[in-house]
Amino acid sequence: MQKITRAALFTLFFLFLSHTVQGQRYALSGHVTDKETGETLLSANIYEESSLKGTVSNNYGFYSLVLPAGKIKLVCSFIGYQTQLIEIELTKDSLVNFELDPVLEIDEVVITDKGPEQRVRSSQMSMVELPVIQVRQLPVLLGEIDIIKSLQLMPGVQSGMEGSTGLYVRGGGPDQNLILLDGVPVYNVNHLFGFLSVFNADAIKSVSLIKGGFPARYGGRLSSVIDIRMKEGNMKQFRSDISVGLISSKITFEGPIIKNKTSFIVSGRRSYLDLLSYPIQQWFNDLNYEDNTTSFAGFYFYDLNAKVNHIFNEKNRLYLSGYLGKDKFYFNNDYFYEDTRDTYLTEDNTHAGIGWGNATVALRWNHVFSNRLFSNLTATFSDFTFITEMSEYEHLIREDMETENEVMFEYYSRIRDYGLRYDFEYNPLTSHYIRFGFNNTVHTFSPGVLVFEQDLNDEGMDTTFGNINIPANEFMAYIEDDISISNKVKVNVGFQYSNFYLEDTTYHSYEPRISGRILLTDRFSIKASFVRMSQYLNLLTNSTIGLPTDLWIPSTRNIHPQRAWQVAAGGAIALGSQYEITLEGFYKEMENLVEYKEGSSFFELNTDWESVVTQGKGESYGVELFAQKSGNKASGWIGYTLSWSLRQFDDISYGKPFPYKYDRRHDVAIVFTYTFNDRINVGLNWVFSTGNSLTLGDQRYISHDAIVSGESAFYEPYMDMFGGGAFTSYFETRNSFRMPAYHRLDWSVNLPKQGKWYKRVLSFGVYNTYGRLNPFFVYEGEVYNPETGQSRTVLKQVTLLSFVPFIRYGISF
Amino acid sequence: MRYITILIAYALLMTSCERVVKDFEVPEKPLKLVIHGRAEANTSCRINVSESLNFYDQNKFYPSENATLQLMLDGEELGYFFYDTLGWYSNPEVNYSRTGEYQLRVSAPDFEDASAIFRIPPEPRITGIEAFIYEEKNVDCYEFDCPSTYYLVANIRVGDDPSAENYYTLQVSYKTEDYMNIRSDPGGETPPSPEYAYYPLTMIAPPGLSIEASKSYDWYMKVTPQDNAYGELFFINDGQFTGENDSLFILADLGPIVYSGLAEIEGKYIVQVGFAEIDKQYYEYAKNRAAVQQAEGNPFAEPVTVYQSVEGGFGLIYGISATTDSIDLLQLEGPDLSEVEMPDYYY
Repeated sequence: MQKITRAALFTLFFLFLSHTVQGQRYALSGHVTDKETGETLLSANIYEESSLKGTVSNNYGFYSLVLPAGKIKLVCSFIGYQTQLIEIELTKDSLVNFELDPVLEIDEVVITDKGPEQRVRSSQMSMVELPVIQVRQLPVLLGEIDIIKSLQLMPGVQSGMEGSTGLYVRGGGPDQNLILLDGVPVYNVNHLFGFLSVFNADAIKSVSLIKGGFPARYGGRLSSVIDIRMKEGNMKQFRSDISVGLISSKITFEGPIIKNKTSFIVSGRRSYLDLLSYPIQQWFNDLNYEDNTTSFAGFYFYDLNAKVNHIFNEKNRLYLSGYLGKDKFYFNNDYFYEDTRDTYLTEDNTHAGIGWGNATVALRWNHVFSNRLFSNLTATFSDFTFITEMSEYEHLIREDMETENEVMFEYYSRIRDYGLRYDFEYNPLTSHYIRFGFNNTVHTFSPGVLVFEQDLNDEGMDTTFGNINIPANEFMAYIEDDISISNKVKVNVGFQYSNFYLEDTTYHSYEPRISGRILLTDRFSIKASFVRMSQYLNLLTNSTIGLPTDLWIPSTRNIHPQRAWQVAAGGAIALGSQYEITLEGFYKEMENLVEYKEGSSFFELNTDWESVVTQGKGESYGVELFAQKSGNKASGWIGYTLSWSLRQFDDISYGKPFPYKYDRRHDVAIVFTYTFNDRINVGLNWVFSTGNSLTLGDQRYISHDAIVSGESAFYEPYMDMFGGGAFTSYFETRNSFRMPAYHRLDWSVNLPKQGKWYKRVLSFGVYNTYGRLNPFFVYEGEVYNPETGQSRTVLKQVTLLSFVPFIRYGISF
Repeated sequence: MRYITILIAYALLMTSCERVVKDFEVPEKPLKLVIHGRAEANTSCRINVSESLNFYDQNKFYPSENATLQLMLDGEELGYFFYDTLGWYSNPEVNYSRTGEYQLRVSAPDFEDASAIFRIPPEPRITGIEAFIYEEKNVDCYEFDCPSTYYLVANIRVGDDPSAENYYTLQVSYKTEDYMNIRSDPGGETPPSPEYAYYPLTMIAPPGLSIEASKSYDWYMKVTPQDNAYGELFFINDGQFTGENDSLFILADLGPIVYSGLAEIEGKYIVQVGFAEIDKQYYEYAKNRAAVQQAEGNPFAEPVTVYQSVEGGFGLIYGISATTDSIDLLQLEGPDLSEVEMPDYYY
């Protein structure tokens, strides 16, 4: 491994020195925006027509391009927009902004922002860009548009349980995804126990997923980077969207505060299961009024996205964005009884609840130092808190005695970050595009805190147990260069250094990154990449249904950072203007992965969580095929993944390798959308995957203790005394059993209608159309045979979602 | 508008929480031989052979009565075993010794052949025990008669071979004539009505002592071939002792013996320190069993793979060498804390 690192560093050094002396050249720079809304366009393609030398706009719509002096034709293109061509005489560094006209109806836009050829030419591999407008056409569970579930349809990305938002990328765990919302890490993306993600598609502008070949500017996770960018708000006119779904509704406002200077967007979403069920519960309470008890239970979630941005001038822009979201399940029970004749009163109010939520804030300042140097300074805040609480108030009056007792129990876990990041992009030469910067994050961990308070007749007690506010610091600095060695060969070389400090322990990490492509023809390229990654945060997880009982814990003296290296190689070919096929193979090795020890669970985490976890290694490898068609009417893709993912821990199954929980040999997704006309379009997807792995007992046998230490154990009269302990349950390895294969077909019909002052879309469809009984979970049960009079044990498979229609109505002004 | 209303009603009807349960058969694997044994030097060979069950079958013991057992020592045949009863096979003419590597080969009709390799560890050496009784005053007691808590403090010195992997068990128990509660053994080798019995004393492990395998040991086991004792057994791994005269400082709660004062101690109370060297296989098994017990009743607990040492089958054959040392409580001098230096961690 050290040899590989050294070789990669040497290559990086060599490539930095390799650029040649070039003639008189000038830099062009500017922003690419949507002409109608003023929204910046990310990853737009800007190139010089004759030489085809070009670049793409960055995450802020900014581009910089160095070209030889003289007369040039500059082309700016972005799918869904009219291509713009500008002729200029380049005699000095110049500013050229592009405002592109949208030419297609949004519902006809294809899945990626990039055209087939652009993907072939890019040195970045293992990357998918998912425009949110495409997501709207796809059929979804309960009609709730979900960008995370759309990502699950991509090759190399596997979902967790049925209907959940879990993401498992190239054999990695759920904690190995760096999910960034406007550059701020989001630690828990689950609403409604994982059936929905926290991202409101109405407020999201772009989503990109990187599975391998990570550029040096990203770090801190082993398996993927999901970069989600919020809309900035319409700079030209006010606009609002309202969407009504089966379990939640959304409303979005956006518009200019100062036209073409300052804009805002506010988008909120709330579920209403609790509100709808309230009258029913009230009716039930009224029906049982004699019990003197009133009970209410409910669940709700909400999220709020807000963003303001201001353009000071061509060189300075400021963005302030925030997200606040919460889920809450609660139960209230009130009992009241009063007997005035006997002076007797008793009152008991009980409240219990589980809640979790994220809050993020990002303040960013774009500054253009020159046509060649762009910078972005970001200050971030992120918080994820999970709370289980229970409180009880008792009030008793009996003749001359009165007592009041108030008890509160609370268990919470939290991770809170404050971060500062400074990124630079420098474009010194046509053949180089250099990025560098640093990031420092102060983490505060509270993995499992127990608070107990009691107030008995004004005598109080307040006790706190557990791990409160463990501080840690994570620092990262990087440099990378996108180098065009020739027209055929392009590489991205980079290096990241990071360290993590907690209490008296510091870890360092040196991570070379390299990826490149060779253009064999104009429409066919081969690519390869090597990356090394480190991760200082670990998610301890027992459950598979997105329960927020999963705890984020830091690396410590005893828990070493997770590390991985990954190689990937493949090719991309563009067939015509509408078809593209990419084929990639990957191999990834991971070490210091964290799992609970055998027999342990999160119930034991209140004090010493380090003693219940163990570390081991894992590997995953496979092949991904992605065949895509883009077009105005028909578009879609076929994704296929053949992969293996294994784990090996000294303390689990005696060191034998075992399949990862989400090891799936085959994973297929077929997605198809078709636009008949401007009043009707349809979406269809079919997914198939190998069943989830599961640990089941192989056999049972009389235990060693019963035989050797207690020889009487196997006598029938003593069986009850020894109970199940007299027999040992044995399984060869963890996850050795496979559940039945998973597959389903979903479809949706979208009926847009343009009115005079509004546009509405009515959508309906069915999730799991043919009612496939996919396993949600299995448990052991018994079946009675009346002929033999005996019961036998079978596995019972529970299916949650077998045929689920949905309807959604949205209107925008 | 009408079709929208119908669609909404239809959707709400269909999306009410679905829950479909479907049965499918539990996969079955070929049954295997189960071989258990305990090998101690200078004792005759006894091995139990039975058959495994399908995972979801009802608990029932199926002894194997027609198995062939062959014992090898360093590749040379020592002899075959003869069937006794209830799955027990023995060969009274062959005694285990501490030299060499044993291999047991077992075959039975309709079953895959099974084998196990084991060694008998060297005899452990207790090179000395210093002990005294420590009285802990109960300062938080508001009652008039405030009883103290008494501990036996024992410094056990052990001779350990640092070049080898050594694993031990330690049990401190007290000998009493009260044997009413001892489990009788209708068909086994232990005396059905012993004249005495050993009951364990609760031990308090010092910091750093690895007791990962020692949680809630609730089976009684043999400390020596003659004596039974109920659990509270510490399993000590290779990291504890690393040379000659390494010591282990341990506290044992004398609560079962001394209720209200030292005057209660009578001559019949002998405390016995049972110390045994075990092979790594048994240590792994015990560690594993502790995890099983920890997971019982917890649906969120991670599954536990039970250790077994039999190739081609299930079960465990382990080697053990035990020794005991006795402490007569009456012979101990009274606790004079001014002369004894207690380790800090007990305060």
